[in-house]
Amino acid sequence: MSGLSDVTIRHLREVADWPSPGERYEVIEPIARGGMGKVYRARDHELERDVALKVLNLSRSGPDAARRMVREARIHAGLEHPGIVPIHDVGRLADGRVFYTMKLVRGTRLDAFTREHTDLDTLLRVFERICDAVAFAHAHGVIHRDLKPGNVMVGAFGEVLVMDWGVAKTLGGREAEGGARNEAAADDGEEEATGGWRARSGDSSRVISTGPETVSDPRVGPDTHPGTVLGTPGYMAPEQAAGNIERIDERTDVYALGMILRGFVTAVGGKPRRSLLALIARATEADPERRYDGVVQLADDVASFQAGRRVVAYRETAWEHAARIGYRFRTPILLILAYGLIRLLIFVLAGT
Amino acid sequence: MNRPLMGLVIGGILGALDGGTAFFSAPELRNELAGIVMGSSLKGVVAGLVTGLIVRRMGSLPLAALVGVVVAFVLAIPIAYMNATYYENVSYYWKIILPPTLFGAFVGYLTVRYGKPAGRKAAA
Repeated sequence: MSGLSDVTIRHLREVADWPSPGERYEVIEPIARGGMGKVYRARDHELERDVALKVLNLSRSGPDAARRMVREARIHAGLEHPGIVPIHDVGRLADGRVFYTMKLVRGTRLDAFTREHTDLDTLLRVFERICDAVAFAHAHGVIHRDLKPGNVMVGAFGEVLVMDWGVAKTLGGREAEGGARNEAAADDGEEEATGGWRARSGDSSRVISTGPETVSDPRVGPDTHPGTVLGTPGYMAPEQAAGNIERIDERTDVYALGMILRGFVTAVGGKPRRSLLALIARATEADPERRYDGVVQLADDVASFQAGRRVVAYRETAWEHAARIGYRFRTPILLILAYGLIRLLIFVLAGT
Repeated sequence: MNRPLMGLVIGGILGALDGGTAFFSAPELRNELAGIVMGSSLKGVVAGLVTGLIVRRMGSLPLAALVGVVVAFVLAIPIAYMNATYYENVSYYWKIILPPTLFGAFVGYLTVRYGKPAGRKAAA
């Protein structure tokens, strides 16, 4: 008896996994996938719009996974903010799998955006918006735990959306684990992403980063246990990489944001200002106690840097202080000097 | 403070300062200094108000400075003409036009930088 080929097996699996969410939603095509499930573009016939529909794979649809999915949807739905992808609906397929629908985001992923925009001011403005969304989540007791350029979308009108709250942790004790999401596909360009899962390979209309993948343990239950590592290497704070669940708090996201900022500085190139480097160093301190206390403090320091004000993370010399003030008020200083020069000329000429 | 009011205040202050410099730049007119300072202040107030009205929705600082320059320049011309004719001294043209024109840039810049743009209501 001959075995089935890999292609055939994959096809059969896809057919079996294809969701049938009822009359309201018509599933059109898969747009992203992970180890635990897939995200599809679906048509909402009731509201006549396209949505993203996230559903678990059939093979991963145990009660724990379903509970995690509902929990993830609830946490996500609790975060109503312009910088966070909104959840529309949650339900069950005929085969019992849990699904939820959310806004179908159109835009460019931050890693692609960073390649296209190397102006530091633009990138810092985007960064501040990411901070706004994350600070909002923190204010609601939710830690993202997987912040990275691949999980941020920049829309055509400059809107910034933080996605993939699948491994988010609530400080109250509840957790939403998206499970393993390690499958990757890659090309460059635009992406219609949902929840930050991996876009399908071979689909040229979407992008996937070549960056590091989210690491997670598919065996974890609805609650994360000590020693479980969730996150993305390169963006994970040391306490997160060590699986030190007890120490994960807002500062874990501060670390990831610091790494995103470091990526911006690298993309921009040139010699960055010392204050900006100090700011990044403070955000990415190995010891959480030495980092910014929260995202708000980090965002404030970034705003100060942008406005030419003093950055808390950097102790400047008297010369640097004078140079910064001079640069900040360069226009009025130049005008005063020009006026003084004219007055001096008039005075000298009047005396002759 | 809204921009027309901001322009008016800044224009008045800078106008007075500019008029006061006549003490050094035109020593022959020191006995008329009070009148010069008052006239210069009045001109500054008018220039500041006009500049503030023009830039009340403007976002660009360089453009605002340019508006200030143009307004101050236009307002200074007739005053310079009257003085130059009355005192029969052509040097009054550049003495009276040039410095306030530069102050005009300052008025435009400060008005947009620190004045509240039109159409934005204060939070309740």
